[in-house]
Parts: sequence; structure tokens; C-alpha cells
Amino acid sequence: METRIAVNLEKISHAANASLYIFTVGFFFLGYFVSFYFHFGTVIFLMLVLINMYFLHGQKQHALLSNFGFLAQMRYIIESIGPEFRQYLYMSDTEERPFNRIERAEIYRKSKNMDSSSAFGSLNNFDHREIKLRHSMFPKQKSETKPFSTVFGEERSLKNAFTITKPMMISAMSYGALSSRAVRSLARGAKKAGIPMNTGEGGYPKHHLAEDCDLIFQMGTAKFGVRKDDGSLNDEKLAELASLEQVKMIEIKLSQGAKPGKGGLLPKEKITEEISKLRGVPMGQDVVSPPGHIECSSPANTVKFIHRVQEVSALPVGIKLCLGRADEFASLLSEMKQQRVYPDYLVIDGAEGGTGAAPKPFMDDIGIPIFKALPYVNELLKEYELRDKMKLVASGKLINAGRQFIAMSFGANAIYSARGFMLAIGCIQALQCNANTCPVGITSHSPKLYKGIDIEVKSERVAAYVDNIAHDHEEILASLGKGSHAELNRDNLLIPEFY
Amino acid sequence: MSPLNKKIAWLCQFIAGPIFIWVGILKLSGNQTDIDLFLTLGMEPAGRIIIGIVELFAGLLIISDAFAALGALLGVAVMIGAIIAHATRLGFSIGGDGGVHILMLLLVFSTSLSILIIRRQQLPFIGPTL
Repeated sequence: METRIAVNLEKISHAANASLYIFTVGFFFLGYFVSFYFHFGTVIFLMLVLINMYFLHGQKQHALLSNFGFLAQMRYIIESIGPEFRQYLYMSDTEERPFNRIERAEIYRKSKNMDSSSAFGSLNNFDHREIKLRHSMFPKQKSETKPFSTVFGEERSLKNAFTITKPMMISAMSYGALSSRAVRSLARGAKKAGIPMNTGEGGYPKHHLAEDCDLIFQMGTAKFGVRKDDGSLNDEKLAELASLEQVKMIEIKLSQGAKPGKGGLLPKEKITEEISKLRGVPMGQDVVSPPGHIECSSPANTVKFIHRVQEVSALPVGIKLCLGRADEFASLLSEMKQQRVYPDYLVIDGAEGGTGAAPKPFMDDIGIPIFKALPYVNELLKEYELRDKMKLVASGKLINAGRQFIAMSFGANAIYSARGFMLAIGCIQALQCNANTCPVGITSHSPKLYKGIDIEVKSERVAAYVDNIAHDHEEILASLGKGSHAELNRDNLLIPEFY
Repeated sequence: MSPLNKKIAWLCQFIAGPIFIWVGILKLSGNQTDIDLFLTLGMEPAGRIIIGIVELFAGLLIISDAFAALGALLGVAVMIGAIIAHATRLGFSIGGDGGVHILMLLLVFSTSLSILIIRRQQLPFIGPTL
């Protein structure tokens, strides 16, 4: 016997569609014979009839509306408000992606200098599928640990070698991807915290420079800011930029985790007159950078290009890439050995890295995740006897000290984070970075939206976030029984077998 | 929305918007012709005030960029009501004006409908499916 209460939506919708006509006629007669006020109903139902006729017989785009009429509209209405409902009401604290509520809340608390301790127990799963840090039975006192320090360019004994004293750096975010106020908040925060900020590939870093923080100039595949008309490198422009006092390092972006093998993408909605001038691109159309540098079509000419940038800039020069084919990476290393040219640092960006705009398959399915790529690259560098020739920087969802320590135990010398800092200045993960409609104005160029960003307040949050993460580093280092970050290695990790 | 359609929409908005605002103010300020019309409909004064507020609101929305479609939807609704009123009770010659009132009504109705059709995708909730 059928026990389920079946609701026949088809019959209900047919009845609802027919009732529109009945109500229209009914209200009309009431309005005609009883009171004109009933014509308010006549007008409303007449308009519903007309819209419903369009759904049923006019439009061809939505089969659901053609078959069921206006009641089917409920699906689209409810669906359109679904993300907000899920985020605020229905999704658990550990469910959301890319960052769940617990992860976001930790950053918010750290950036506001609030107590970030938790109670009762971890909300994460302990199913032996996650990488864990191994603490020492004999932890050190915090006073026994050495302050963090890494020098970029020391391998080449560069006069302009650059030292960082905190483990985190602000990863590449251009003016264009971010609003001017967001860039300036981060730059002022970086200055206060004493960390460098990467300019992103957005051309001349006017807003980054405005706050006088240390900068890493990123050269994307389109080379905005340092390009010739044919897209190749303009040595004079690069030398000019590198001579600026704030610019401490140059980074050649070969690829990025969120869209490996595809150039940067700036949607036309976000191209203002100023951005169009700074990048030298027209308004009104999407700006899609080429997938690769025009100079870099093989390992040999890629290494030559690195050497050229090192010569022209006289600064530490790094390359950023998301690991794809291991054999290609190995041949790049052997070419470095052959030419005796080594970048001063290598950024490994995990496929889980973020971006302002990228096609979905590139975000979801292309590239190697950070905790898989990083140990592989570290071991390969050792195998090629190149590990002491360059620093290794890791990026890809490394927003808290725990994940940063895992990366450093896998071989990273320093950490890049972009979204961690966006959360610190108030990102609510509305996932609208590509649409110029960011509700907190971080990725929108609409003055109505970015007016809410107070640069002074937000820069304090950036500095507090960095300081609190650095504090976590000290404590974790002591707990692992290590005297400095340089002592970290794979033995600090519990790595699940399947990994 | 093509640039041409956008221009047509704005032209219609500059015609319909101020007219709605003006007739709304007239109704709310107790214009004698309106009082007479609403007396005939049996809706004086509540109906006149309600329609006046709706017209004023519709006119203000129509001259905006973001809410023009919603304003036009309200405007079309009011004009359908007006057509019903003229067809069933008021007749088509108001105070011997030679049909000026009706021509004005048709002008506002057609411009509001044009705005609604061109900007239909801006309507809240149902817009994306239109």
C-alpha cells in the first residue's frame, strides 16, 4: 500500500494557473457591481495573468515555467536567495568552502585582537585522513626559540638582499582585482606589521606605493607596467621600477594555483579609467593575459629570462608557479644547473589558491594541491643539489599558523597569503570578487561599496593579524621542541598513508 | 540591454517619471478634477490618496536607474486601473477636454510598458527569468 503522501505539483499548478483567470473575472465583477476598490484585485490578477501567459506560451528559455507557469517561479526565487540562507542559517560551522566559518572567525578574532581560544574541543574531524603536527615530549621555552628571519638573495650575495622577519607575506593582489582602499589598507597594514606586500600583476603599483611599505613587484604574463607593445619585457621600464626604494624583489609569475596555464583575468565590469591607464588596456572588454610569457617557451629560454630580469633589476628575483607536470619542472631545474642561473626564490602555489576571476574547471580540476606539490618540489631541489640555491615560499589556503607550519615542515622558508589578509580587512566570503559587487568593497570599484573601508582601521587589523600569527608561530615552535623555523622538517608531521 | 534600447528606456523614463510625480502630487494636494473623478468612482478620499502615493512612488522609481523596472511595473498597474475606470465609469471625455486626458493616459501607459519590457530583467526575483 502506498503510504507516502504524494503531492501532484502538476495538478496544483494547473489549478493555480486557472484560478488566476477566475480571480481576475471575479474581482472585475465585484469592482463593477460592488465597489471600485475591488479593481485593485482586478489589476493585480490581470497582471499575473499576462506574466503567466508569457511564462507558459511566450518564453522558451525555461522548461519549468513553460510547463507549470508562475508557481514554478518559486524555484527560481528560492534558489536565488539560497546562498545567503545556507551561509547564515543552514550550513554547519565546518562545511563552507573555500573557508568555513571556524576558519574565518579565527582570522576575524586575530585581526581584532580578540581572544581566539576555543572551548570544549575541536570541531574538526579526527579520522586519520588529515596531516597533523607532531609535538615534542620536551618542548622548549619560548625564550629559547630564535626570532624568525629569512634573507632573499643571500645565495647570490646580493647587495640588495632582502630580509623578512615575520613568516608571512601578503600575496599577489593587484589594484584592479582589489579596490584602491583595500590595496591601501593592506599596504599600510604591511608597513605597520613590517612585512612585504606583493603588487600583483596590475601594472604600475600606484596605490601600493602610496603607503610606503616594502613591495614585491609581480610581473604577470602580460607584463603590465613593464611591457613593450608586442608583450615582451621592456628593460628600461623594469629597471626604473626596480630602482624605486620600496621595491625590494621582483617576481616572475609563470602560473598560479587558481588558474594554472591561463593568464590573469580582469572582467570588464572592474575596469575603470584609472585601471585602464595603469595597465594600458582598453575599457569595456575583459582583459585576458596570455597563458605564458612570450620569452618563456622552453626551460632554456625561461632560465635565460630569469637571468635577464636579475641583471636588469639587480634585486632578488623569484618565480611563482603551480606545479603541473613533474618532468617539465625537473628539466627546468637541470637547465638552471646547466646555465648556473638560479632564481632567488621559488613560490609554489597550490591548486587550492584563490583568485578574483577564473574559469571553473581551472579552479576545480587543474594543478597540484600545495601539500602534494611542496614536498615533491623540496625533494627534487635536494636531488638536484639546488636546495641551498634558493628559498622556497608556499601559498594556497595557508591562512592559519597550523597549516603554515605544515608547509614549513614540508620545506617552505616563508608563507604567502592573500585571502587571509582579505578576511583580516573584513571579507565576508560573498564570492563576488569577479562581479564588481563585493558587498564590503574589497574587490569592487564602486565608490558606494568601497566607501565602507576605513584604511586606518583596516590597516590596524592587518598588523594585528600578522602579530597574532607570529605569536602562534612562537608557541607552536616551542611545542615542537624546535629552536628555529630552520629546524622544521618532515619528521614534525604525521602524514596519512594514502597521502 | 543594447545601447539603443537603453536610450529608448531613458527617453520613456523622462516622459513617464515626471508625469507620474506631477499627477501624484495633484491627487495628494486635492486637485478638484481628481476629487470629482474619485467621487464618481466612490473612492474619495482614501482611493485618491492611495493612488496618489503609488503614482508618486512609481514616478520616483522610474527616474532612477536601478529601480526603473519596478517603478514601471507599478505605473502599468495604475494605468490598467485607470483604463478600467474610464471604460466602466468615467467615460473617455473628462470635463470636455476633447480627449486630452485619455491621450495622456495612453502616453504614460505606453511609455511605462516600454520601460517595463526593456528593463524587465531588473525586476526583483523574477527578472532573471524574463
